Amino acid sequence: MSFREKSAWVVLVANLVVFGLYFGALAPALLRGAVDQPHFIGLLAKSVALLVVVIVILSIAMAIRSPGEANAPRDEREKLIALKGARVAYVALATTAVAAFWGLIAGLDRFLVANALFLGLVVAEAAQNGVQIVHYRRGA
Amino acid sequence: MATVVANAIRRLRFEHGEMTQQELADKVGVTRQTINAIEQGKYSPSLEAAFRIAAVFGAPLESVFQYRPD
Repeated sequence: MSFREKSAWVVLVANLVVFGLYFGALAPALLRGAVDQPHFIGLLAKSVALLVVVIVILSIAMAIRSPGEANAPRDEREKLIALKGARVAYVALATTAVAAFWGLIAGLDRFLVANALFLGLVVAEAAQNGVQIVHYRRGA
Repeated sequence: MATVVANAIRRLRFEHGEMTQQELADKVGVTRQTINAIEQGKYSPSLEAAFRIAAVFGAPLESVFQYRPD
């Protein structure tokens, strides 16, 4: 498995685990209609910080094991795979942004819309890494 | 999914002192995984990469890559 594919796996799994925990805690509160907004804003900030720390530590560990690959620029196939992932991520993010726009126009709660936007970002990132992994597995 | 571009890279590597995919990758400036994907017909290289591969083997492009639409 190449360094780039390992990186995609690390970001995908870390993203899903960290924000899965966050949204797993938020969803029941939203359904009950009793959301402690300051608590969840703090939890989101901690989740982002945790994600950054986890990804940085794992990336450094992988780079130490494969310094040559880690320092090498993407080759043409890796750039193509990155673009294919970014294209899917763009669709996911744009769809969420439009939905959030109409949600605000319709008068939905700002906290709900903000979290929906963030969920869209998480889904877009996961889709991007998932698509990249599929293409790395297939060959291109 | 296989591409319509066939290649003779595996044979040429064998004929050039059993050159490894990593050695070829280093000479071409791509990853070993990309050479593997090209060799297996899963990825069609750019024209520049194709010329580089042919240059490593000192062979004309058409003897390394063949277009087979059928």
